[in-house]
Amino acid sequence: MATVTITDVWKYYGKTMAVKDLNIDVRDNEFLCLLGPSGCGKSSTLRMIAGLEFISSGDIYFGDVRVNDVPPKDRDIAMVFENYALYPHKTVFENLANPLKFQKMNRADITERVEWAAEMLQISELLQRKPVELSGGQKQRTAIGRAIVREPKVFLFDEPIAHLDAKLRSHMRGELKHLQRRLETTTIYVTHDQLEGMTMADRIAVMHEGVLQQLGTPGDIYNHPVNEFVAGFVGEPPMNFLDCRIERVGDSVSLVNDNIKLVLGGDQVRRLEEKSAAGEVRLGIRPDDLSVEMGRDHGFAIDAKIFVTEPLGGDMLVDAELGKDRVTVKRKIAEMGQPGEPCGISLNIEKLHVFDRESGEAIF
Amino acid sequence: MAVNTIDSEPPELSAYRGVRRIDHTPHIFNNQPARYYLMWLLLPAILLLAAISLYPFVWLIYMSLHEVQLAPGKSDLWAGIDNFTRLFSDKSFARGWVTLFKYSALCLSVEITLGVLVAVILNNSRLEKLFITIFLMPMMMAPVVAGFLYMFLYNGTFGWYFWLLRSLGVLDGGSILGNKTWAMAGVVATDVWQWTPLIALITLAGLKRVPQEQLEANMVDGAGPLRNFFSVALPNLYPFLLIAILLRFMDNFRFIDTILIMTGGGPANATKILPTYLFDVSFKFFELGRGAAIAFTLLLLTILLGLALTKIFEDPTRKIKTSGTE
Amino acid sequence: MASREIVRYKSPARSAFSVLVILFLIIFFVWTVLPLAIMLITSFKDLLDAFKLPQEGDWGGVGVMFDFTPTGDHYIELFTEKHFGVYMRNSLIASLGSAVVSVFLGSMAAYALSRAEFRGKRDLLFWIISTRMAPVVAVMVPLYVIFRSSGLVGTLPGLILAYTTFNLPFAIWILKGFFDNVPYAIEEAALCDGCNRWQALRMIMPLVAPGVGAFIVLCVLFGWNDFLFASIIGSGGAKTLPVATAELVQPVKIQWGSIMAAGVITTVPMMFLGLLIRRYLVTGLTMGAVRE
Repeated sequence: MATVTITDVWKYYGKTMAVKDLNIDVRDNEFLCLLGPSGCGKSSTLRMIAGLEFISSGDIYFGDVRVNDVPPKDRDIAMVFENYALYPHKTVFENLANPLKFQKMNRADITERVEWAAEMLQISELLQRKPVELSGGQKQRTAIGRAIVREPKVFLFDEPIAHLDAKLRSHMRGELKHLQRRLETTTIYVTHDQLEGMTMADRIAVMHEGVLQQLGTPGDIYNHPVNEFVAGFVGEPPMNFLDCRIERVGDSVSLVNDNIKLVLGGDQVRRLEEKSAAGEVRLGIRPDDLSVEMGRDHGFAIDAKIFVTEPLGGDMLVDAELGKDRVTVKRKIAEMGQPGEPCGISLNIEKLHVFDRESGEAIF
Repeated sequence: MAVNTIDSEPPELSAYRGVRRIDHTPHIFNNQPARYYLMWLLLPAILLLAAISLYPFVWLIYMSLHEVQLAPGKSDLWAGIDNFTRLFSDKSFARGWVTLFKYSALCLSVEITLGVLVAVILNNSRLEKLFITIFLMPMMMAPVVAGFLYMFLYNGTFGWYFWLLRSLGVLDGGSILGNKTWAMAGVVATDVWQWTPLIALITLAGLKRVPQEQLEANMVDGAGPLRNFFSVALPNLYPFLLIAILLRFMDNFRFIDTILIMTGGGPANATKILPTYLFDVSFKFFELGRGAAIAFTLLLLTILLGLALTKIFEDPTRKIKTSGTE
Repeated sequence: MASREIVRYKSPARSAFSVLVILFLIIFFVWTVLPLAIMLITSFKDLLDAFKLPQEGDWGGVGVMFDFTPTGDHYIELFTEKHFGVYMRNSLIASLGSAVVSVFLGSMAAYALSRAEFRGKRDLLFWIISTRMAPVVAVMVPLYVIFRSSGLVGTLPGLILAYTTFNLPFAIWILKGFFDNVPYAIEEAALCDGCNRWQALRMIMPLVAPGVGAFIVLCVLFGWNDFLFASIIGSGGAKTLPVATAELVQPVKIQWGSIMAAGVITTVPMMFLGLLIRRYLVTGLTMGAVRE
């Protein structure tokens, strides 16, 4: 049983605030991802869980045990560092064996455990090498091996695959997720790459400037972002934002700017009224929820001009200009026009997001 | 601290290059038990250092305020600041300073010019390795031995350098170390021989760190090699040369072995730089109080130079240039 | 046309320039090596050969330098009559002793200074580096007084302690730079693995070990080459090679052959050590300010 409970945790470095009033419950065997741009406090949070950083105020519990004053070696955690932090003068075998050695395990058991971990990570043939002789991916596997070898209560990953090349990264995402499912160990994973969070995590905690923005499943975060920051940070290509104002003509409520006029559905109007929103808002729409057609008689609601097209193989991104604004549309690949040619855009009004222009809070 | 082409950083650490660094010390190194632990590691060295440097320093203060009596049984006489005020009327003291600066200025200007020149010529050439090996040799020599060696070379009856200068018709007098002008040149030449290589090695290290893109960009903009050197390489070298100058200057009055051996400060005090004068006062005239006062003025200069040096060490711009790990 | 003229104009200047460069290199080479060569050759000459010089202006007579029957007498004399074996041992014990003490205590202190944050750390560091930079003559007298009253004058432990005055601050300062370069992550990983602080420190020691070794060598070099401390603190019972060399200068006649031989004995081991730690030499001689 290993839950991790973070209650009212603050972290200051001198006068600089790194983490503000953080509350997260990590469930047993859960894969939780701390996601956010650099400097958002996610690493500080992880390091506090590991015991490498002092908790300025608040408590961290492992299960029912308050661990604020427990040194890392007694927390029964395993951490994988951004730069792997392998012991440079030890072989892969010795690196893996190190945590077991300190558990006073006997020689034969150590060998068995190390070989088990090495096999799981497919590094059995590298056991006698030194870290300098390993490629980035192999080092990373070794670092993970050192973590899994002794069955800790909690895995802590600090951007473990950030320095691998793109192809290897996407491969490792799958492997890490598979590994976590197999080992069934509570895992906290720090990354700035939203894709890693979306693909691997059971739940994601999005952080920004030391503040937890939203905690939820990848689906929640993607479909119901609580504010403009989360909406913009998650999803690739990022969500399009357009400034609009709310116009009421009789019963119909619509979002209007110089180029568009969107009549909202009844549900959406009710949400607007609940939050008593009026006047200036920001509209958000994901590239997948837009459609684009070439020509003048497209029959779509919005007139636009092609800015640039970026084929991605099967799909393509179309950047279109709506007056001064620009939006990105994702669609199946097709013959599109040259820059400057007219086109039409429509959007799936169901998937529309509206944010308060001032606070960035989501209205719906 | 830290480093591009050749690097004293172990290869194992190369993985950490360009990696986000935490700009504070992690708490685990600085919580209360950790601080005690670190303090115990620090303490033996600090105590030993205090015993052999702070304690003598207190003694130095005591001596500078007393007329120290050498005869046993006599107690030292309180002298107040007399030892210091007397320095103002001490002509040898003032001349010691002047000679020290003259000596250092001569050494440094020749060493920097030659060292930079040699380094620029050798940089990336096939001879670089060979010369670096040769450069090591004079630097490794004990200053005393260098002093004797040059005394031998300057000797008026069998010295090869003496013969060379006479044969070239440059030297009129009968002796090198017996002539006021030539004696200064002689001790300077010894210092130049020993330490120009260090300047060259420092400059070579600096040249390796001149960003190649800057040179190339400048060349694309139409600069020739000479322009390139002055407008790109030299500005990048300044911090290195500054360090070289400060360190050499410091050593010029830290080590007086060579001068003591070769001239003892003579002839007619022509090479009596201040530390040499201090040596005379303390160990020939045994005026320990006055010696302590002179030592104080030297320590003051040391502290000023030390401040300058630590400034350079802490200068972030220099760090980027010389550390490259960032 | 024009460009060809420029090329034709430029090439003689270029070649003249490169001739100048080569000439300069040759002169610099000779200037650097010649004194060493003369020292080596003279140490194998008897006094008559050593004093042979060509006539002034007789450039052809330079060959006289190599016109001699080599003799090992000076070396034999140094080791049999002048007890240079003892002085060499003294030099070795004093410099190695001080180097080991300095680097051992220094690396502990350096690690602490690298990892700890505390008020006054900058001042402490400044005190350490200025201790290293203080002129030897300035601190010699009080040091002598203290050493005499504790009976350390003329003893090897005294000399070891005297060398430690400059080697210890050097070791602390420069090794701090080395530890600063070692990322926290390795130690942190060790701590997470279940190590205690001391075991975690052992994990990073292999990373700094080459530097530590090199600076032991450099401390040996500083001690070995010292003259002032050795002549005043070590005088009597702990005579080292530089002091013994200086004592070969006797009022009646300076024994140049012996002095040159003593110079060779003193210098050659250090040159080998210098080559051995080549990679760290400039770093060491610039107090860590310049890294190659």
